[in-house]
Amino acid sequence: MRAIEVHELTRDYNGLRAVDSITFNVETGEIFGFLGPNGAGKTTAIKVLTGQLRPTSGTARVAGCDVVQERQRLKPKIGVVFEYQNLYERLSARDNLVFAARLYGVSKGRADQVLAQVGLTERARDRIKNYSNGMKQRLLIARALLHEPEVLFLDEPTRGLDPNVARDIRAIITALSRQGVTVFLTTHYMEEADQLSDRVAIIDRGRIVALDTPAQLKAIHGEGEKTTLEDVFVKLTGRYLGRGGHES
Amino acid sequence: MSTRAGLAEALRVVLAITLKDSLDAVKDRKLIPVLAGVLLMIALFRLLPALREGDTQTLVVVDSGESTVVEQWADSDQFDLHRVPSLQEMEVFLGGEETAVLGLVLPPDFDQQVQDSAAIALSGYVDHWVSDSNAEKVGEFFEVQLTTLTGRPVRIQVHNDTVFTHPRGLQPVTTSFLVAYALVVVGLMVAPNLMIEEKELKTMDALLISPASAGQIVIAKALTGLLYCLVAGGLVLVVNAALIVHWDIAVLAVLCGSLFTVSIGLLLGVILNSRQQLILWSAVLMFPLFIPVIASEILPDIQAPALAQRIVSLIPTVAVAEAIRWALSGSVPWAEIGIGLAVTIACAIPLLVAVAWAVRRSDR
Repeated sequence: MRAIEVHELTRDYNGLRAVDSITFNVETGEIFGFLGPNGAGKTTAIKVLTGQLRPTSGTARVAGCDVVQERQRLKPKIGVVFEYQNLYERLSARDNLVFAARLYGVSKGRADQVLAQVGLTERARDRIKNYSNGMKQRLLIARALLHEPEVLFLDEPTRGLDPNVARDIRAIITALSRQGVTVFLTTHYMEEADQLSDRVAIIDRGRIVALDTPAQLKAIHGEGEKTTLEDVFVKLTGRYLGRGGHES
Repeated sequence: MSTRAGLAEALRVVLAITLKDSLDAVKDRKLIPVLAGVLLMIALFRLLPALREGDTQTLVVVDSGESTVVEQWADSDQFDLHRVPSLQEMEVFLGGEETAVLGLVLPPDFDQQVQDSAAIALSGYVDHWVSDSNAEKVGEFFEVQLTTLTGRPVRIQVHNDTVFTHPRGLQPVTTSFLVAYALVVVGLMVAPNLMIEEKELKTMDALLISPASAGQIVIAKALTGLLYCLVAGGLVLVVNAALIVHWDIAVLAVLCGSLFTVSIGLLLGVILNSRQQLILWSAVLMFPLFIPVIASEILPDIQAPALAQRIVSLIPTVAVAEAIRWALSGSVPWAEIGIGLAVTIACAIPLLVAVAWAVRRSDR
């Protein structure tokens, strides 16, 4: 069964075509890597798929819901980790989750459950403003998982995190996929995409320039056994992403 | 989803946001300086009468018989005497005072009674807000004074339940100013943060992908803002509880006024992007909202055209202040107050619709 179906999706933004006629499907339980340089249209695509933006043309269905026509029905079926850490800083981690639990109509006990899942039980009553970036990122994932969504959108979930925290978050993502959650992942880290994704789409200037498993992409576009996903990315987009994941 | 289930879900979402914002406000302590400011204003207005406590006592006399005995009272250095021609004039006088003033109604044949009677019994009046003990104290003071001056024992039966404050008296005016000030300050300086912070922290994005709709978010924010205003406005009412005759009008006025100022605050919150901008704009907007309240007091005194007075009276903050003044008085012009408060709500609703529209627009 398909968790995401996108057909000829286009979105214009301030006179520019941010997403240009993209078509792809994501299977249930799949981790789908959505890669591209800065400004390629990744975040705009996520905003359309999560119902935050209307598409200019084309259609998209997520978890069986049309993102325009059935937006309200879609909301409880998706979880989103944004590219920024949008939490209520004065509240504790638990208060943040209890609030989200009330919004989604799930029990407070579930809040404690997801706090344990991301390893934040001991710091649950600390205010967010005293949290490190890594802890905030874990909490964002906990918030996105709270209502047990069918599809999870992760926009750069490991950006700026130290390697240990990033590894923990990758482990959480893998575990979620095993539980049948579909993960739509954008990242600048090619190794991470290679390691996690079942399939990868590379987007450049709003258009999908390649879509396949990481192994197939390396086989088709690579020049030998040692070809990395980053090599493929650079070849297809003409841009290099440095060690920190930053474009140069 | 059935209508009932839909309503239950909407209510759950609204309450969730309201609870979160209320908890956040407690942790932020943003309301504390604002409430402290309101308390300071109340203290200042309350202090004025206290400063005058050492002043000479005042006696207002309705003397239809133009008594010669009363003329002698005017020479007393223990109290100030005011003679008025009617009971109505006495009520206006008492209602305009902020300290306990005694009003006496003398019979037309008072001079004769002084000559003929062994003891004189009089009816005295103080404002409704004067406590029983204070009324008794004032009565006893004048019994002593008048007994000395007339050479006959004088007994005064003091009533504190028939004379009500005049709506243009100092107490109603200062109380109405305080209520208007509290609502405007909280509405313009605190309520906008309910929107601005969601934008600054980008938590609005998370709210908008949650089951909350733009309308539910605005209703929840308005409820929280109302709660803030009710705390501030309620504080003014509680401190002035002794003055209030019509609690229903007072509470209704605070509710309507809160809804209006919160609506303006939320609109500011969706238009502005930072707290720095808010400081500037809330200060600017304070003037058109609060100055008419002061102007409405001055216009009758300078005999401004009736049309101008009527127009000013329909400005929502003025209508609320006016209702508060009447809530402290005896008789109430219900129709006039009703129109003013209806206009206040009528102004608030399109503002809230505009806020919901702006949130929805930012969403898509």
